[in-house]
Amino acid sequence: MSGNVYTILDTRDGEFPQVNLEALAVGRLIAEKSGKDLISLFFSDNPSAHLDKFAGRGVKKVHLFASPELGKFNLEHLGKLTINKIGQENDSIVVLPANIHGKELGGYLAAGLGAGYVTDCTGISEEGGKIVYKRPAYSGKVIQKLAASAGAALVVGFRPNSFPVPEADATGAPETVAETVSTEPAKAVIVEVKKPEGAALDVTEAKIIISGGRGLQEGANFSLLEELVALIGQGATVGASRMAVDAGWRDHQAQVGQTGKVVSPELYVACGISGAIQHLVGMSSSKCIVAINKDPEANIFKVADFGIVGDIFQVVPAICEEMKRVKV
Amino acid sequence: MKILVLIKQVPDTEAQIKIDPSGKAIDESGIKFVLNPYDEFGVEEAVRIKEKNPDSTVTAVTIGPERSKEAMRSALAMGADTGIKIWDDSLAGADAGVKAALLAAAAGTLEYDIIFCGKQAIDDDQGAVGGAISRLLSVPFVSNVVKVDISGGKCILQREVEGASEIVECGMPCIISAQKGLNEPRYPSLINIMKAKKKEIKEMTPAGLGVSDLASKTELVGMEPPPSRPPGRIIEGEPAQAAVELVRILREEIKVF
Ligand SMILES: Cc1cc2nc3c(=O)[nH]c(=O)nc-3n(C[C@H](O)[C@H](O)[C@H](O)COP(=O)(O)OP(=O)(O)OC[C@H]3O[C@@H](n4cnc5c(N)ncnc54)[C@H](O)[C@@H]3O)c2cc1C
Ligand SMILES: Nc1ncnc2c1ncn2[C@@H]1O[C@H](COP(=O)(O)O)[C@@H](O)[C@H]1O
Repeated sequence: MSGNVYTILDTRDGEFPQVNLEALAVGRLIAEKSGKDLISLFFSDNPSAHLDKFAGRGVKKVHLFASPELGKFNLEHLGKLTINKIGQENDSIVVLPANIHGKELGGYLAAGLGAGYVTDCTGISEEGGKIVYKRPAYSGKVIQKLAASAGAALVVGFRPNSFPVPEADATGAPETVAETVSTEPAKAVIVEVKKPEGAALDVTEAKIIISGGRGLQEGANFSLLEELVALIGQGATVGASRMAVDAGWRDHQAQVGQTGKVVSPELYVACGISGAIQHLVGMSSSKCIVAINKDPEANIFKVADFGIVGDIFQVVPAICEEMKRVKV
Repeated sequence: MKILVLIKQVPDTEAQIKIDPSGKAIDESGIKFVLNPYDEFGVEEAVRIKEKNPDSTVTAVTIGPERSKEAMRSALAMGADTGIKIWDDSLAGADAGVKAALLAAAAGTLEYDIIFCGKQAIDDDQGAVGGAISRLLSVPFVSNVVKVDISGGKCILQREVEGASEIVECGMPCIISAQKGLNEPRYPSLINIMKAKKKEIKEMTPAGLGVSDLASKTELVGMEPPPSRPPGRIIEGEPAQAAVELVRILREEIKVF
């Protein structure tokens, strides 16, 4: 037992995102199962502003990497600083936040640390003295169970919303270590971040997704779903099937499915979506699925917890009415 | 411009996946294999760059058994010039790290300005290879790219992240992973499908590439079917009644709002 469990965290637009807390929860779980210490490497232009976030999460030590250029994600900087810090420790486990940046970093770190790599983990257990990581493969048609090969370090990424994030407990604040940061100029740098005007919450970050498909008939009709999202309020957003995206009704950022995003919100409401396999693989791990479709034979009903067989143009406005009624 | 495209043959998205009795692989019988959809975006983008810069070459590289020649032919029919196929039976079950080491070794024998790969291969669904070869080749990597502009010896790339697009400026050579939205892959014409049959697919082995460490750093303990969802409940009644009942269930039973 030479290694530690590390979480590699950064900030985005100066914020400490929710996925970081999830990464800390996953790291803590693995640390408890393996009897290792949980240590964080934290990269930011202003890391001290977020130190409170580490308290009560079972973190022993936080290494602070502070530098203006670390305010924006950069694979080369984060990758090299992490590899230099951890080195080739045997059987260390490195946990990454479940977002695009974390995923981009994962393969790089695994190669640099001589480690294995498990992405999209959805469950962790112990079997035969090994820590076993479950992950969906083949678009969720199979669950793979993976473990680190004997003596190998492991990089672990997980699916957002797959692990509970407990409230901070009484374990208190970790020790902090300020690191000196020296970086070479990176070969790839972010020169601009574009956020669409009044940007909707991303489907991968939403707790509730109201998704529309071809059944909506035209782009303008998505206003029905937007109204419902507005009534639900924070944490809700509009998603779409590929048909709706290909028709130009929705931005492809909103596409759920095989070639879109994989989501696992608390609630997924599919409106006028048939439930093609390529759509199901993107949303079938949602906690609760509601389907609204006029075709009682539609495939979407096979995965739905609750279904309404009916016309979305009647059912969705009726749901909005009821939401307004119960809200007052 | 010299472009490499990493491609993988994967089960068709519609394929029914059954676990092999060994519990460690899938049963391949009856499965239709295709070129990984994300790799199609990579091939298409490479071919478009070549069409704008006629002295360019596009080389597709795959690691895979005999059957993966078919996916290679698809890439060649879309317009890749030549193919390289790496295999030996010891690679069955090798993890992404081993594959990345081989792909990096193969790239090391070639000249390249851009390496395209897919956001992920839709069999293992990992998205591990691009980052790994970035480290192994010391070449920058930008993932999830939906737009590529090349000017003045640089790539201006648009990377999609949660809720935003990032514009990334990147020198060459570089590694780009393709996300849906990058382009609309073409359907090869019959004549190009015929031409592809005559294009060269060079076959190589790990030994030929000088890679001897083929030990995976991860171990596949087993595979199991996904947990099945309990049967759902149809909410009966007129739209207005059903809506009231649904909202009640979501508030009182599921407690989502
Ligand atoms: C390689 C590949 C990748 C793909 N990736 C994705 C992906 O990422 N995401 C994705 O979604 N798809 C993907 N697809 C496409 C997928 O196969 C389906 O074509 C698509 O999901 C269908 O979209 P849809 O359900 O909106 O449309 P349809 O299948 O046309 O379904 C429309 C549904 O609306 C219902 N309907 C119509 N009018 C009403 C009404 N007034 N009220 C109630 N119900 C109504 C109909 O009964 C029908 O069930 C992919 C396909 C391929 C080959
Ligand atoms: N066996 C392989 N041969 C060639 N390229 C591969 C192979 N496996 C993965 N890749 C490339 O790496 C990308 C990401 O794959 P993965 O990391 O396996 O999800 C794929 O879209 C391919 O471009």
